Amino acid sequence: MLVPMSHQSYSDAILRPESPEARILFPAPQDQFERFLFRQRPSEKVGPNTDQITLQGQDHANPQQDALVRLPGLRLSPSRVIVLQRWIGRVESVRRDRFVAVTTDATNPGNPPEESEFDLAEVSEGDRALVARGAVFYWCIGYHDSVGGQRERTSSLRFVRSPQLSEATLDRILEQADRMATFLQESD
Amino acid sequence: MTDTPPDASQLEISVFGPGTGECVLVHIGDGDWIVVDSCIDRRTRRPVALDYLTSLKVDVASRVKLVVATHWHDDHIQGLADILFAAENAKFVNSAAYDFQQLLRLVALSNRVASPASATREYDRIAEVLDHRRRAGLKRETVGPMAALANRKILSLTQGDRSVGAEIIALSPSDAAYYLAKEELAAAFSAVKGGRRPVTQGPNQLSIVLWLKVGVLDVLLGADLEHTSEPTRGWLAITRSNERPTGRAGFFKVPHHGSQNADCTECWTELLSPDPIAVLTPHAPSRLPTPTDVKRICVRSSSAYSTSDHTSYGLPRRDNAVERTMRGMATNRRALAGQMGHVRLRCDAVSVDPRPVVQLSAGARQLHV
Repeated sequence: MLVPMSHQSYSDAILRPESPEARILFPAPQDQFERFLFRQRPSEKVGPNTDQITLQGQDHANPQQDALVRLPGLRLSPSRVIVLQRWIGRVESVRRDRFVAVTTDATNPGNPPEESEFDLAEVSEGDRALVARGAVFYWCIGYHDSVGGQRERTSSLRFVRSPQLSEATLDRILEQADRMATFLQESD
Repeated sequence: MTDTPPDASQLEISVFGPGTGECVLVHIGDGDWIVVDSCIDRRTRRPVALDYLTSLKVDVASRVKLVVATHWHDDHIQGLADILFAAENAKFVNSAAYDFQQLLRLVALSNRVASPASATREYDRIAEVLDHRRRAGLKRETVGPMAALANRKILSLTQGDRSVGAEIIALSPSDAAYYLAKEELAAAFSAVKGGRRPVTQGPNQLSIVLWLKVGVLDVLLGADLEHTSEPTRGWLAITRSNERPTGRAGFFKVPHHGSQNADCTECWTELLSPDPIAVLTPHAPSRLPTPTDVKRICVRSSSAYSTSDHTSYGLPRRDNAVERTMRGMATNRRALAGQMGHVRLRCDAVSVDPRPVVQLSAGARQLHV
């Protein structure tokens, strides 16, 4: 019989994933009865996407009513991104701290292309060197649901990096192009 | 605008442009058509040329004789491969200034390292269509690529059984433009190798200007050719050529969206009849034509038209969450295209009194000072 989980045990469960305490906090799917840690307040509603933790010795007949605190959904609420809108952009000009780009709507291709100005600060540091006229980027707006179930609105600009081709690969690509050009331009 | 095809003896010039993109269709008599450049109708996601010809019940496979890429910029070439694929009897025409081998090298490299949706992707598909036809046993003389160069005849339909004779002659690029093209392709190659899309480098002196003789009528399609003080390039190379066709055109597709740097006085005085019908397609990204451009064109033509008004496009409506985030990220937003505007001219090509009829649809408008 397990004793009620102390504060120390709770910390151990977090810090030592293999410990018995961890099994209580992060049970295998079949361990449904071990997922309630505290008695639930009567007014608290339990959502369908919420995991709960329990202790042995409590009333398991109706575990949802026994939970006092609902911990974040660990198994049913994985971190995820919901994409609402995507664009493909091309940089048209770059000023000191801003750049102008033409974006085409990848979510609704029926929408017209748009021109917009972006602050360079919106570009992640690792991508800033790529911001040049003609550079292509993907712009995405959506929601990020964290493991804890928190929702944030997000926007990300990611610049396309070109694969580094070896000289041999480059030669092979160009040779193929040359063969095609010769074939197409041959007169009969 | 009716969906009735033109009569066998009628010339039709249909100019399409939504604000970014251009396509010109010409009925050269007896049910035959040529396609000059292409753009996509966003509503149907198909080349506007195919939509329009289908609506007229034209048999694209047999009736389209030429598919011309005046130059390889994004706003002139999107959907051209689909048109070429559908137009089984058409010959593909490309600017002679662009070395085809260099162009295909650029295309091949672009496919490996650059992002999608560029003009190089379109050229890749064009090469695929041509390759397929050559492997099926068709000759290059039939399918192309045909290299258009100044004063080269690229189509002649003057057989006795036709009710209207038609000849199409390229007026550009000039020989001197070849070296510019080499530089342009080299710059594009370098951009693509660095993972970027090629961007316009300088004034366009490489695109194909076409002179059409259909029956008794002359037509000048100015593509994007720009003006330079250098007499061997741009418009001066055409106006000062002794080998160009004689006559004056009564219809003018105004070059390069009506821009000042494509305006050549000699073009209006030497190649065009007084007060010709002039049509342009706007280019919203570069805000062309400007009010000054419109004023200048209206002085030269009382029948000037634009396929669209690039100052009037509305931004699309999106989800509130998206809109709020966009406002925080992007400023000075503007839409670069509107409806697919259409200016259509039809007139009798065999009569001395052709009685041109101009019809406008979907945002096309007459230009006024």
